[in-house]
Amino acid sequence: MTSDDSKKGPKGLRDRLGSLSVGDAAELLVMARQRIRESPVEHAKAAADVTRALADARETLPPSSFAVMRRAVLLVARRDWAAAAVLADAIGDLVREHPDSVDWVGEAVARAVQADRTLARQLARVLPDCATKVTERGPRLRIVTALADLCRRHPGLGLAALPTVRALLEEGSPEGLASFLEEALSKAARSESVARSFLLRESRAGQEAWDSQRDGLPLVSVARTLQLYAEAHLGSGVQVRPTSDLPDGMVLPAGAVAVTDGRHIFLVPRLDRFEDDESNFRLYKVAVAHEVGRIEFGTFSLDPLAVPGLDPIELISDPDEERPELGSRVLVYASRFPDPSLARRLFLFAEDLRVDACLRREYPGLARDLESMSDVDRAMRPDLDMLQGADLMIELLGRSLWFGDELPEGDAFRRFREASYLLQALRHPSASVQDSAGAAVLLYKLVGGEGEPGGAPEAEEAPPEFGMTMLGPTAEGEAGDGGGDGSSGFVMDESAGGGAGGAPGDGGGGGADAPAAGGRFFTGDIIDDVAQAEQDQLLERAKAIQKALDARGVPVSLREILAALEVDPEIPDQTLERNLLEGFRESLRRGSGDTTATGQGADAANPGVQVARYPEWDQQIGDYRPRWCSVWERRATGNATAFVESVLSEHGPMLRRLRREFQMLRPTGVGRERRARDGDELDLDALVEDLVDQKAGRPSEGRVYLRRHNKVRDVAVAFLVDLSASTRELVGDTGKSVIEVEKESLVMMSEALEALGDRYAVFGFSGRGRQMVTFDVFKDFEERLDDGARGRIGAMTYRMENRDGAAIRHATERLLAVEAKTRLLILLSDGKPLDCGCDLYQASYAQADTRMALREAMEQRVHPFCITVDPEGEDYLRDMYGDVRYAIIDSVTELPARLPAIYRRLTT
Amino acid sequence: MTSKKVRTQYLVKDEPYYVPTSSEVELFEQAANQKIPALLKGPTGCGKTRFVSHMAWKLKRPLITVACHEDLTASDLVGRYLFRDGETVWVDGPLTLAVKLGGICYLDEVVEARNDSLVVIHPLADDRRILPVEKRNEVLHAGDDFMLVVSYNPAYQSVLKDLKQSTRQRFIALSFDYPTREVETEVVAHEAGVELDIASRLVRVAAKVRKLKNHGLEEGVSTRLLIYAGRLMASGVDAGPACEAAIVQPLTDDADLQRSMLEVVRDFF
Repeated sequence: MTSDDSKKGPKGLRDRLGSLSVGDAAELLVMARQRIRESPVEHAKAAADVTRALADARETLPPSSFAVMRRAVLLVARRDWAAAAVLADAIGDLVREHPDSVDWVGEAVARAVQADRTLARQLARVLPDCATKVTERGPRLRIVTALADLCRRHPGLGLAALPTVRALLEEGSPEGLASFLEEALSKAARSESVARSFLLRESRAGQEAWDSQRDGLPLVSVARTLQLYAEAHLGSGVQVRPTSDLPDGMVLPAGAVAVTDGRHIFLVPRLDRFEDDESNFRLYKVAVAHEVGRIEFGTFSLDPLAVPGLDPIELISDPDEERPELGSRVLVYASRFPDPSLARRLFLFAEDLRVDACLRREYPGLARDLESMSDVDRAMRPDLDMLQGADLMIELLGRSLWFGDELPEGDAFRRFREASYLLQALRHPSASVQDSAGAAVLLYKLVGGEGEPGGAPEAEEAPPEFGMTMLGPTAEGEAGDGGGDGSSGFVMDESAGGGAGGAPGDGGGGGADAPAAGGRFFTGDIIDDVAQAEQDQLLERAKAIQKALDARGVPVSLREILAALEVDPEIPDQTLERNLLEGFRESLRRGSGDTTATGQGADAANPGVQVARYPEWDQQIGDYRPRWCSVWERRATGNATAFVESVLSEHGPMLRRLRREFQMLRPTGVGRERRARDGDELDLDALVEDLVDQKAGRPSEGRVYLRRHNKVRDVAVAFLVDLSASTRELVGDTGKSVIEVEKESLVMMSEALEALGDRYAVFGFSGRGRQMVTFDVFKDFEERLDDGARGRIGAMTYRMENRDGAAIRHATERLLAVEAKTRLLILLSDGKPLDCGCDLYQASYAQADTRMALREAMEQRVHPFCITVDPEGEDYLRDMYGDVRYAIIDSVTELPARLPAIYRRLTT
Repeated sequence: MTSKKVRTQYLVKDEPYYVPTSSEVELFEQAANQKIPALLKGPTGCGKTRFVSHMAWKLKRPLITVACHEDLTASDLVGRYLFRDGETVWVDGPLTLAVKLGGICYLDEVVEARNDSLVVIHPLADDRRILPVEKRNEVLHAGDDFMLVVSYNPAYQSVLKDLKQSTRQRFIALSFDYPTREVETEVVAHEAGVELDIASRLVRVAAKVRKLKNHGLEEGVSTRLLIYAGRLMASGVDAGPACEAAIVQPLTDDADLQRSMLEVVRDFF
């Protein structure tokens, strides 16, 4: 805001005052003046906004409602103009619908101001919205009161509560939300931290309370099971994600549970079709199984250019087009018909029948589950009267083929029987996706689709919007319906003929909770190309960022920005901008970096920093690039003992167990045990005594053996943590980031290792560009785990990129400098190595170098072990880690428990 | 007991059921003829031990098996003096016994044994084929029929337990894996006494479950466990509980993983 605004503010205020009563105007003026004097810019603007909003409201609202609103807004305005402005803006609906609650809301926001202004402003936005959504007065007042109390007494908790409140309002009952908040409030009275984890659903009590307040089965509670189920069927190339992850503009048809693009299976975030969770889970599973079937049995390997019944064509223009990617093959196929939408619906209808038959044949037990959904499905079928033309025909055929309904008798329906035979043939084991495509060609003619199929796809024809509408009952009426000869008599409502269909793209049609014509209710269309849509979105963002950076005189290539975005699409643009900016400045400051000679040891400017140079493997030239990377080793700073303490107290019981377990791993020691009951050799002294005892008639104990112990643990381990920016991503809905969970694990691990006595070090790496790989030492091998080390680990935070190869080489060097029989290097990372500094370190180049660095480590008898928390990782991991052992932790929150378990297994 | 009698004791009398998966039978036979020791590697429960007893039967040699463990010492293998009735008595260890009887000495899960204990097998496992028994000041020469066989599971993840190159490079190595779908079906049907259809479903469940390796599962489900599941079913247990007890529960304690495996089982039964 410029100083211009501050002048404009009071003036705008004065202009607006005209439409208010004299009393109001005077009161506002007095109040505004006082505030404006304190902080001119902010308050002047807010005061103007408040005035404007009140003036508008006065014109639109009945006088009694306006009075209520005015009272509430002014109450807040007396304490904070900005909050009042937000409130005035947000409260309109509430005033109209539940004027009786407006005072409560005003009171609540006003009280929150006393505790925390930021919070009050947030609350001013959220609270009216919440209150509007709750129709019953009782729960509404309970919610408002509880939230207000929470915010006033525990301002910190207020912010934590807001997202939960929003989510619960969407998905739960108002009573549930009220009780949830009240419970949180009573917990907060005892301990704020308990209440916080309750509100954020981090504690089990919170999770359970949350779940019990919501209807149905949340995807998160079964996502991992479904993910593993899909992996068991398809290997690791598939990922289960909530539909909320779909790119903007893609929506599932009403009632559908899952869609897939061949790589991901998107599932609705919650299922409440059935009363009990078991049935809801069953539905999830059936839906996943169906999508798995599409992938497993080849829907996505459709060759759109060689379809029976369509002339083979060749696409000369673009070689990429010739074998299009996954979903877009269907797009190409459909574009060969004059009515692509109809062709697509027919193809998917035929294909689903085929896939269903494959599933039933291959998985006899699954047939039972598929069958179990039939009753629900039948109850949900679209109303035949609402359908026409091709959709009607598909639906009738669908009912006959899915549920065994009778097809209508009579000559008029001859075409139906023809189509039915055609489709039944797809159930034969030999049928392939090409046969489905061929059947759809014939169906297209049978239902009287417009024109003659078989033309070459027109480049511009492919619909740019992502059609989740496809099998919707009303989609695209202009083709099939009137277009046929109309004599067949299956058009039940002929008057509604051509063009009556809804606009394409409105999804599901009519909003009815009915599945698409002919399709089973739980499955949606396939998605053409999520990757492409995402890529387009990224490109847009990258361009914007480049422009912003250009404006600040920082030249960064689009490729570089894109690479950074691909690694971490969630990163806010500003953060990335800042990172790139910092990187640029840093590289300027460092110069080209070549000035630092190897072996020089300490950097003159920074005595704590050691620089070492390492080669890097370039797979393209098939050789090392000598002295290519500079690793800057420095002592980590920071002191976050509080974090460590909170981790230790949170995981108290687990920690005690770990310490005990690791203590038991401690070797019994070296040496000989004399007078053993069993052993390699005879202990002569004992033997003589024993003989003497026997001769003297004393009982012999038989302890005459000598037993050797040489159990020694001589293990040194280095934990190398990837501190790239992507580790800032939040994990599920825990509210913790990857790096925080990694830190928690390291805290637990160090405590356990203290009990065991193995030597260990904690290193972190990041950096940007080959000249600046930073290598932070959080705890060195010979160092004790004191508060200093704990504090440094606790303060660990994400930085920039990750150039794994150089860091692994340096960690290997560090390990080799330690005297130990067994040296272990544990790499903790969240994904692919990537460094988009000036030279791009990514994809196969980076993986090849990482693999090489790991191999070098093994050759020097350092045992690497890689722990990755990237569930999508498997493909490249196997390639990158080669012979190196690795584990994928697909649910990051398990890491604190898994890491010590892995370590134990590795070293016993 | 005469040496002959002892020898008979260690002979494998009935043919152990074994379906070859590639040329391992010929290779092993030739190794035995050529007096080359063999190392069998592969995941647990894929048939390594069964293979050895099959080969022992085929070659008509006594089979002496040692299950290796951390506390296994050289004396445990070679032999020691025991003190009995006021006198010291020498007792042969299994390795010595195998050398004397001219049989196959099979060290199962050899990585479990400490490296220093394993050094005693070195002179036996090269062209010298001798076993020095230091405590008795004698050197035993192995006959033509003596053969050393060791096995280990490469998926076993401890870095402390690895065969030294000096040990590894004394053996030819045969790599074992779970059999192909057809062979495994045949094996499960035969061993568990279930119909081929049931066996085939079990094997297909296994194929799916094995894809979960590295995703929480340390190792895939073994053929042995499939046979257990089959046996339970053959004796009247329903498929669900049988597979849960024999396949799902033994593999993991992770509840999500268990449930996804149960769903896979459910798909087939």
